[in-house]
Amino acid sequence: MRIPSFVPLVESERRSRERVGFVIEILVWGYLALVGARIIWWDIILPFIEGYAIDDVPRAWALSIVEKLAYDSRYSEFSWTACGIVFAVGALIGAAVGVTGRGFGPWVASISKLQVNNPEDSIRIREHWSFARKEGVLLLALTILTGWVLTKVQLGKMVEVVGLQSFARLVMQLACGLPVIGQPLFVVLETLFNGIVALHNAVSGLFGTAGEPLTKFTLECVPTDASYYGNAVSKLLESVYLAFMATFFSVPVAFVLAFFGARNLTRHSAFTRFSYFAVRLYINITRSIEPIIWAILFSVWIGIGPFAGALALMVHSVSSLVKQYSEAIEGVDDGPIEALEATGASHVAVAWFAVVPQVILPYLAFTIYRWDINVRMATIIGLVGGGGIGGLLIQEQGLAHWTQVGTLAALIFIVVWTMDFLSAKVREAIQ
Amino acid sequence: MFQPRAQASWKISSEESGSQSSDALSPILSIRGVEKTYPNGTRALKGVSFDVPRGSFVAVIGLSGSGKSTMLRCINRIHEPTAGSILFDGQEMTTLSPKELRQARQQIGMVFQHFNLIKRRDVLTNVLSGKLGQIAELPFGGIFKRWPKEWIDEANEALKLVGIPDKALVRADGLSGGQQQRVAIARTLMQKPKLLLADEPVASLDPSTSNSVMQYLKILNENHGVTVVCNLHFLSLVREYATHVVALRGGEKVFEGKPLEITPQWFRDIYGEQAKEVEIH
Repeated sequence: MRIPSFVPLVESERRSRERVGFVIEILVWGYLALVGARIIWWDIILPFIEGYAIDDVPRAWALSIVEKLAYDSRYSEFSWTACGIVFAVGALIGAAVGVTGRGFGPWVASISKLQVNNPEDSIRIREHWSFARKEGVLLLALTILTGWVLTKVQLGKMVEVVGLQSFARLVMQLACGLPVIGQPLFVVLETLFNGIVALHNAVSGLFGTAGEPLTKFTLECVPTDASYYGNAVSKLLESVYLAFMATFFSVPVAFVLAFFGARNLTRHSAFTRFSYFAVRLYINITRSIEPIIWAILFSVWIGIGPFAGALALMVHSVSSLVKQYSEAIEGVDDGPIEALEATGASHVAVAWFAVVPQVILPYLAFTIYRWDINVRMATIIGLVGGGGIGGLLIQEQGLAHWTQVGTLAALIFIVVWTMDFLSAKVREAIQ
Repeated sequence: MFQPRAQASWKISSEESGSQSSDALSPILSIRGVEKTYPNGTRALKGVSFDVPRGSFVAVIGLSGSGKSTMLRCINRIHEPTAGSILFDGQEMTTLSPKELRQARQQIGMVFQHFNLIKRRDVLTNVLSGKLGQIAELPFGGIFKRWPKEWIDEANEALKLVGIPDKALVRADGLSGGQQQRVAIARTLMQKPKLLLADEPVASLDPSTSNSVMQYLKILNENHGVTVVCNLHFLSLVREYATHVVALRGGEKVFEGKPLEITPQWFRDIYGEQAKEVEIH
């Protein structure tokens, strides 16, 4: 498990890095074994063999394997005991690899900012980690394979006729709801889709493959009437103002918290180090609870409506802004901070005079972008009783009024596009 | 050629310079066995000791990475020294509480290679920020205090002294390098420092601007009685301006003496066998 001396490491940390590398190595091989057994053997190879065993003409070898393992893809589960055993086997392999000190674990653990000065050393280092690189590639490949299996990627489904037909029908209805361009667009789509159907029928007739020819689309476009727009627009404005309130009131809170959440300003005393930890803990907890959950919490507390939605967005905006603000603070030029500290200024004065002028423009950009995000989120918040256009949207969707859903989506799009345009202009102006 | 543009308009009077400076013969700064090890394990200083006599102009020379900047920053504890003692005007710097440290820092000015101005603020605000130490104990570090009229006059006076009185309301990033460094000098003037630490103040300036900035440091040193400790790269500047020289190499002191005592042999000891002296005029 030794990391050779030509790998640059801070000497005082070498022992602990070696231990960390060894542990990572064991975990990596445990993971590889687990994934290999669960995904490759259990989800890919065994079903393949089973396929031969339950074929019309069962193959004897496949049948014997399946019977011996008592495998049945419909019922059997990969037990926790099996997980434990496989992981333990992998961990043993990992320990064996770890002892050589050439694996992926020590490689990762030895990464540091230190420079290699001797060119011969850098060649030796490259050779030393050649196995580790292969292990890394294997790790990545197996992880992608696992992701593929777990997300149940089924490319075949994407070209199935029934799914495509339903998709096309829905698209046409949504398109019908668009203001002004709705009806012409509907006609264009109808012509296009029916053209594809005709082409499909012609081609399959030519080869004589398909049974029934596909039927043409016979939908009717009934555009949303004008009185509907009044209600929709007023709900939309409610969402926009709700988002504005949430953004506006979260800025001062985030502004103050950001200083306590920036690493470079919180090193000097135990209190500020604790404040850094506390602020980070707070923003990570509140950010990992989605605004939609906050909206439910607040609407239970103070009742369904825009106020609950605004509070939910505000909680989320504060933590997101603190994260962005404090990262902007961490990126400032240290020079002015040093210079003002050298004059004997207090920490508050250093933050105010040396840090704030440097971050004010990024802050403005972040804030406008946050408003933009909040307008979009306000529609989602409405889904759970947070007021605004979201409530209307979920209602129409529940009644399968797809034309109205299309209308609402178009209205939201207009607002989002306007916001994006404006924020781009403002960011340009304050460069 | 350079000409001083304004007469010295103020001097540090003896009352202002504090009670501890009674003994005019004791060194203003006395550094003993200072060590600095950075968190990444780099040993930047390995026990450096030297004295800075009152009123002297000390040049600290050495290669890049020899520990010059670290040494300077350890004096006012912008970087915390790992070991050793720093006696400034009879006061042990390394054991001061945060509040006492802020008070001590008020008496130590500092200028930097990259000027370290607040770029988006006007020159006057930058100069006035030298006074922040005096209002540090107010609530919120004094950020809500309006600058008193006398301070603004003083700042304009300081700008006049460094030859840019007309730039007071210009944004700092609109100035040339040499002008920015003069603003930085005006900022330290506001502190009325006893000691000025200059970290390669001319390293990012062209030769003629370099000379003019060095002249201002010289005025501070000779006319205002400010002791200067200055990191420098060019020996020609050292010979012209410094009264004492300290040389560092690999975090250790390798030479201490007068500028004229730097012989070619010493030069190679400080800068390595391959080095050749380049001139700046």
